[in-house]
Amino acid sequence: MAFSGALTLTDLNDFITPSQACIKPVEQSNKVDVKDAGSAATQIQVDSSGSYYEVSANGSAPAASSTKLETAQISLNDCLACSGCITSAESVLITLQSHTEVLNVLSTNSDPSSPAHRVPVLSIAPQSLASLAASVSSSSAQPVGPSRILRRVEAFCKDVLGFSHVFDTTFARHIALLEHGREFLERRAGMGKLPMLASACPGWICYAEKTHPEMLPFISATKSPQQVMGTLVKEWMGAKWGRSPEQIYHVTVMPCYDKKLEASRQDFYNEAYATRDVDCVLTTGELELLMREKGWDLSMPVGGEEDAARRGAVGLTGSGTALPELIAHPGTSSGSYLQSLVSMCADASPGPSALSVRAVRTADYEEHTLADTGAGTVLLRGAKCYGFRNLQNVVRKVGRDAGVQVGRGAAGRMAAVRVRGRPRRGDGAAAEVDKGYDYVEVMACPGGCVNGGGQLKPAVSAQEDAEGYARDWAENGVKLNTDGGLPSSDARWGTRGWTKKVEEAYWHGLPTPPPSPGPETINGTSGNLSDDHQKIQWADELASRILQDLCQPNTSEAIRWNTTMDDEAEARRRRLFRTQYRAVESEVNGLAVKW
Amino acid sequence: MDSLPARIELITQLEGHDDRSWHVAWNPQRPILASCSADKSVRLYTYKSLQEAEKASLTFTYHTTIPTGHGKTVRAIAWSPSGKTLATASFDSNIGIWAQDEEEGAGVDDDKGRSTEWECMTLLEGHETECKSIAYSSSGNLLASCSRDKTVWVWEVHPDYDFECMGVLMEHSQDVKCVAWHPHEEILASASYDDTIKLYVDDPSEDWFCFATLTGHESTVWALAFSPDGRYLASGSDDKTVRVWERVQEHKWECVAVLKGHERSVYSISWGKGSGDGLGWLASTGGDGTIHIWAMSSTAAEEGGKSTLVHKLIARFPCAHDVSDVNSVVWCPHQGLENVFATAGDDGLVRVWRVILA
Amino acid sequence: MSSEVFNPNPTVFATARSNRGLPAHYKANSLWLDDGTHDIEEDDESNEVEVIDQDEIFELIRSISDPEHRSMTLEQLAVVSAPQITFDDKTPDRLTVEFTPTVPHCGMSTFIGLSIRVRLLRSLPQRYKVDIRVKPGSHQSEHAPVNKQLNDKERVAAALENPALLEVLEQCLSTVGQHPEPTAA
Repeated sequence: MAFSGALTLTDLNDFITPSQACIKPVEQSNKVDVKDAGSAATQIQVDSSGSYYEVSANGSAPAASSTKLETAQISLNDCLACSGCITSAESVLITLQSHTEVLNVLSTNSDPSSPAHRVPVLSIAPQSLASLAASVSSSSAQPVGPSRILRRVEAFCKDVLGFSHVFDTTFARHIALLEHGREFLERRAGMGKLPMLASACPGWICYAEKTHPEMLPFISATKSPQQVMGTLVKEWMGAKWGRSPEQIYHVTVMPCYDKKLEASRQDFYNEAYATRDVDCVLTTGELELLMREKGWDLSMPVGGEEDAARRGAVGLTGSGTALPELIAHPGTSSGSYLQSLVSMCADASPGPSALSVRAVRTADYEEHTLADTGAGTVLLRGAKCYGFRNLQNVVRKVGRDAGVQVGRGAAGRMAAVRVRGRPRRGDGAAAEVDKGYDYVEVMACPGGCVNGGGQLKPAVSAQEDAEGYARDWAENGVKLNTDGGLPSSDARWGTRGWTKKVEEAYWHGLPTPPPSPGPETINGTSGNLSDDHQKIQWADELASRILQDLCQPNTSEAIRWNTTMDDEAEARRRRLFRTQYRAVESEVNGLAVKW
Repeated sequence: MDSLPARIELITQLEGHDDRSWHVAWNPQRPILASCSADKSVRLYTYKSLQEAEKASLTFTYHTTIPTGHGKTVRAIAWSPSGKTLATASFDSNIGIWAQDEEEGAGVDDDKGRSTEWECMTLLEGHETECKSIAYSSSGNLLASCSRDKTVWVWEVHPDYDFECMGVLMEHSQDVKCVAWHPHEEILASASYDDTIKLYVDDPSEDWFCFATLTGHESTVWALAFSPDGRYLASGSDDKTVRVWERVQEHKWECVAVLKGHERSVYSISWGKGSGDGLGWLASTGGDGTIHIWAMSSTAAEEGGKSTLVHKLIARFPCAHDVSDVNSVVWCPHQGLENVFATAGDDGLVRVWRVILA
Repeated sequence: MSSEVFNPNPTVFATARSNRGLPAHYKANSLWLDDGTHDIEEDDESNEVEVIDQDEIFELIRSISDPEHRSMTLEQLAVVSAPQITFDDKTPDRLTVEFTPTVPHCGMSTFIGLSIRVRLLRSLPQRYKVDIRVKPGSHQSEHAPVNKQLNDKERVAAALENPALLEVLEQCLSTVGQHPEPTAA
């Protein structure tokens, strides 16, 4: 069925969106004065600075008889503790997580010789680099890859803003994938529930905690790459630099607004040093705004960016804090969680194995099945599931397969829903197919993280170009943010064509298979360049060294990431690389009920 | 008023709900009438029709009550086209899917006292707040629901009472009051507190999407009804009018008529085949407690021009549920009973009526 | 943020003494509490339809508590008054109750309106159809959204099935029929 041009679907709208206004209750502290009829009534006035004053109705001079009223304040922590809306999205107050806050901290930072000095560190997600790369490429003759963009962002952050260090988060993701694989094996061994559900998407975590608490035991406890990066910077690098965690100011750049919520979680707050693993999260769009405000042209090359492989070739450099850059993890542009488990299971399989991929309706829902080609047995049954609609079906399916009831209790559970067993298939093979998943890569945004809510947007205009990328981005796209505010909700979601461009930029120059590999035999690392292989090797070795440094196992032998260390070291590993989730209870303040 | 060409006659009154009755639904295959209520129950009645000369006599028998177990009001009900499944939409935000165990045999028309218990086969969760309306597509393959959470959900019906979410449509800016399917195509319409009507179709390679927004009503749109031939869509509103929208192109609908006469909100409309040729009969009712029956027809197209919709009030019945609001009006879908309809009111009653042409 | 205190120091007005003798059931704590079977119509010995006037409607709603200042009644805060109750000339069973939120941007407007709506729903005979409106010009924001919500029977019905909302509502309605001593001499 073909649609006319006017009917072509261009907007991705399958996002989780906040459905309610904020309902956070604010305590009443003022007392009521009983007055006689006819006495002065009071009014509320708002002055130019936005402060509220109570003034008597007949008092003309606010200064004389006015009382300043407290302004209600809402922090991201309040949002996390509240079940009012589903996700914060970008509409919630984010003053502590804004680019002006970053500028404030940097401008008021003490002299580096002072003990009060905070070392400013910036870590940028590969999806953010891809978004910037796609926008720069759209207005230049030659495509500009993420590695060059990283050099330019680094130059901007160091030379203009004064950051001491700039990293990308792919090495943190490498560690997250290692720990994630380890957790999967633990669950397979009976320590925890299957299917395991990905936890890197904070929108999904927020939604699950607020509306599907029964899903929490299934959600991977491994920290997201952002939070692993926080641990690396504050704990590992801090120690290398002789700095305690609060002496480092760690900013991340993410494709997603909800990463701000993630960084604000109590679990990632270090009580002892009163600091967070990630102090501030900027979206890609906010970084772009910052660059524009400072007059930085990202389309201009910087010195040395040709040497894209520089960092990859550095090799192990003793006790330095250099990290392998832009490590390619084959699979999806949302972190390759599923593919990393597929590779792990394929590697562990004694015989040859084959992966089959089946798209369910669209590319946002794919079933990946890894089977032993000899015995025909299934080694791993996984799915990739992006967007709100698909998420609903996964929640239903997981709930049904695992025999847990879905939905929040407050919704008024039906007392007697008939329990119906799954139909028995006659032959074993069919029954095998009917079994549930072992793993689901869940992401709240359709298209995944490259299409995150914090990414740069193509211009939203009525131009014929439905693909949305053949236009001059600097002329159009950038202007979306010129008022300095957040893009309007109408403009914030990218088009499919634009998302495709970002996806291409993400994989630019990487010797990786396409994000959705077709049926093929998996033989360990699928990269074919020794450079890439070398980088992975370096990453593995560095990860082991970091594990050793941070967990201090009671052994003199070299350890690998999957080594089981002594109990104390394992407890440290859990503290450093895992987290936890909790159901958020509904508000019961009657006056705050929206009806 | 008395000069109208038809009159409305009460056939029977069905009592039993302990609270406001919100909605009625005729089973499309079997002689069952269902009603739902703020008392959280669904009541089922069977009926028999005896054709006596020109006039059908209808007798209703109470069949059973489904207590449902919903935590709050059951706001709306919908039969699947097969007549085997009943869906309930509740203020508790859930949708219940009810059927009789087929293995235990016997249909509801077995009135010999055999056990034909209706069981909840599946609970569809997802709406955040009150579910307000529910509808099966003509093929029975799709189920749509809507809620105060501003969303419209489309579910695909799978065997074994399994459902897959095909789309969550977040197009309305307010409470969605009603969903309705086109009588033979997979076109979905939704009506909202935001005063608009939205129309959706499926893009097979992508998702469900809104292809048209119909504006014109000046307040909440409470009710929707497609004409039996699918060329028109009627809508009832808090602005006291019924509007009729014509499909002028594949994906384009235009308002062609505004029917006035109600003194308070129009809560429910139903477009049945009616008697005679023409486009059928449109029934409307609402907060003024009055039932209006409009005969809809179109003038013949002249000289290649388009035909024009003509509406004519043929019957009117005030105080249909005494002093109460009437929340629902639905035509009986069965052949030979095209002039029969049922209403549900704030008095908790269900009444069945017939239109008699003078 | 709807439970922010919008008017921390409201002006309190003297209340009028009840200016008419009331049937006993009016003073019952709340009519709907004693098993809901009594409404005004049924309490009448005769089955004649008695016309209810402005003052009687006012009696029903004057002593509803303000949600923010529970010790105050809507009358004391001049949220409701008898002249703000009007009947449809043609259809005396249809009436409009206007109310005046205490401050222009009172976030409690919908709640106060709901308490009036529920009080009347529970105590008036069913034949009465009531429209509730914010007094024009008294509400800073467009009052249309508040009016629309208060007159949407489905929204009201659903609100009354929300336990948390209902609890506060019952508290505000628990004072109906109890008239405090007039504060002005």
